[in-house]
Amino acid sequence: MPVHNVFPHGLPAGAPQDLLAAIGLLLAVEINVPQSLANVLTSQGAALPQPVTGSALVDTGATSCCVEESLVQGLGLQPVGQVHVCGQSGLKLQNVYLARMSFPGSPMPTLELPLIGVQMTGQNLISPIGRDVLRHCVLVYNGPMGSYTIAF
Amino acid sequence: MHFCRLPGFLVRSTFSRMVEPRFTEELTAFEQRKQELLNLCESKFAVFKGSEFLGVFDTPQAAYDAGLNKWGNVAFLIKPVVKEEKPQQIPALYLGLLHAGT
Repeated sequence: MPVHNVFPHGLPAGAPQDLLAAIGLLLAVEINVPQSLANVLTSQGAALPQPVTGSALVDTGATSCCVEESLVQGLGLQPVGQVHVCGQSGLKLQNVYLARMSFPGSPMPTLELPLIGVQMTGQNLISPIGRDVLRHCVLVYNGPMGSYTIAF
Repeated sequence: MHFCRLPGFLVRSTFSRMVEPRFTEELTAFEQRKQELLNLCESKFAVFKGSEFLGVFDTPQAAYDAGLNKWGNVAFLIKPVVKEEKPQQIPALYLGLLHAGT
């Protein structure tokens, strides 16, 4: 079982446990087109879009993974559904895309899964990771050590 | 780090753009077959484009691959075969609590 231990680093000074509490469970993430679409584009001689990289936040409160919608649209992905998302003013309709998600620098496996397209303009995050991924993992938040562990 | 953003700003930026309903024809086609699909293959994934029904697949990836092979990289519907789809919960997003310290 691949195990990924994360110690926040390269961030403003502070005790590890304070850093982890402040920034949460961040992972480097790369969003790309599904392999089957990449194969189609390659067979057509079309250029493959550059994957999008950024930070993802492990969010145990979220039922599903999300992604900044403009990024998946920039990859040329088309929606494969719509879901209602609970908001402050009621339910909001959001597009769903199937995309390939990998985690550079970690042994976590690459996943192809539905992602809810949301608008996260002005934030440094590109993707909250929800319980649809966590259902496959063991997640340990080690507050006193200022680290966390994800094992698939 | 972004600790000073007001939640209202993020709430507005997160959900300010209305997403137009789409897949109405596909959803109608699904509703017409829903009971049959529930009886035969609940929890799997049905694929529709317009009123055309492609089939039912074990995973969203398999459904996507089939739709891609059939229609190419265009919008088509992958619909979970369930009695009722529950709304998704992403509280940190809609409450404006998300930020990243990178």
